[in-house]
Amino acid sequence: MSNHGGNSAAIPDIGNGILSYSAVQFDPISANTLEEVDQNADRILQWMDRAVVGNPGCDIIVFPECCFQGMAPVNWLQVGIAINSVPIQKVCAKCKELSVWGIFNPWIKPEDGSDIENTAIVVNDQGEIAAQYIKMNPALSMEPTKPGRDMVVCNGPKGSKIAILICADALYPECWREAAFKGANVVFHISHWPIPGERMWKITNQAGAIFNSYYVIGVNSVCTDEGYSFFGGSMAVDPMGMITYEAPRGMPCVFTGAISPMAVDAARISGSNLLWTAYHRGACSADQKGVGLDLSDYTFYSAHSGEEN
Amino acid sequence: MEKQFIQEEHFFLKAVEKAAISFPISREAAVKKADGICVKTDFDQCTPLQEILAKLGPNEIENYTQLRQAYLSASAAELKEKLGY
Repeated sequence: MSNHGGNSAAIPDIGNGILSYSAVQFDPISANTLEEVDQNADRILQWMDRAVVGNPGCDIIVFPECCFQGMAPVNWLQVGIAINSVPIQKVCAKCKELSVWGIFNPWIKPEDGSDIENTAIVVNDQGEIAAQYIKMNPALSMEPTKPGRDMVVCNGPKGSKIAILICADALYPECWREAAFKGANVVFHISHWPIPGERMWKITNQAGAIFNSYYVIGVNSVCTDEGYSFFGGSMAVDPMGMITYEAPRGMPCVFTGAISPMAVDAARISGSNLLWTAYHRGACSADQKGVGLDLSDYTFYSAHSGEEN
Repeated sequence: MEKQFIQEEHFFLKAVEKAAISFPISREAAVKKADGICVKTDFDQCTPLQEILAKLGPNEIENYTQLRQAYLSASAAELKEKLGY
């Protein structure tokens, strides 16, 4: 785990092994001021209160990308916040108050003056930041943030090993695969995904789940800002790629579901394991003697690793 | 056409379950656990599970998927030998 890594040392209580989640299809204000960022934080708190009414006993509440700032296409440099700022303190305190985990996505302004980091935070039920992930693939046409260097996987409630993909990350199969190789059994794909990308949204969520045999919970914004419209359509996808729920387009809402992250782990040990076969190719042929070939025949990874900026 | 027995893998996996083999496991440890368990390998024939496991290629078996791959690999090798491939 890197300097932005997860809480690999602390394994939360597994309980009954069934993770109950609430996903909020949120409609952030496109913030031009820090006051508007604070307004978004207060609205997040309201949705968290709603979430535990509609899904009492839930383990984790998830918000989409840009939930504090919107995409902020006008004043994005002015609305970056510090990791210890009041809006973040508010959601951490709310997690503690409600005894739930939370996933949120502030745009963080580093103290050293370097570029804004599009950061997902995982907050535990004690109100502590358990992990931070910086988006590895900022949307190149519209997002001047600093790319992250590490796909983070952290231990979450009920045996979950959580990875977060942020919006455009989902367009790069490497992100999905890296999460799987680091042990993720559920990916929360949080997005500010605009129209006309509805089909890309659906297909990438399903493909990510299929290729890596884990759950995908896609949580998207629903709003229109100064330049883009974000459609919603949040969804839950099982490890076979079946969409088990798809939220409406165009309306803020919260939906709930229950998944079994440990079943993913069990299947990797005692069932069919696509990840293992990916780097043990052809293991069942007589000559490969149950071992198979690794990834070194793919030139893409070796050709593009270690390149200087 | 002569009917061929093609359910060996099913009965192999049932026998593995009966032997309570869990993963990861060494081939040697798996063989020990398989003591006294037989696998139906033809309409009228059984083979000790120990004998089958002992022929697997890997010394260490990481998971169920590798067990199946190793089993199929060993079976294919046997067939090649039988056919003089």
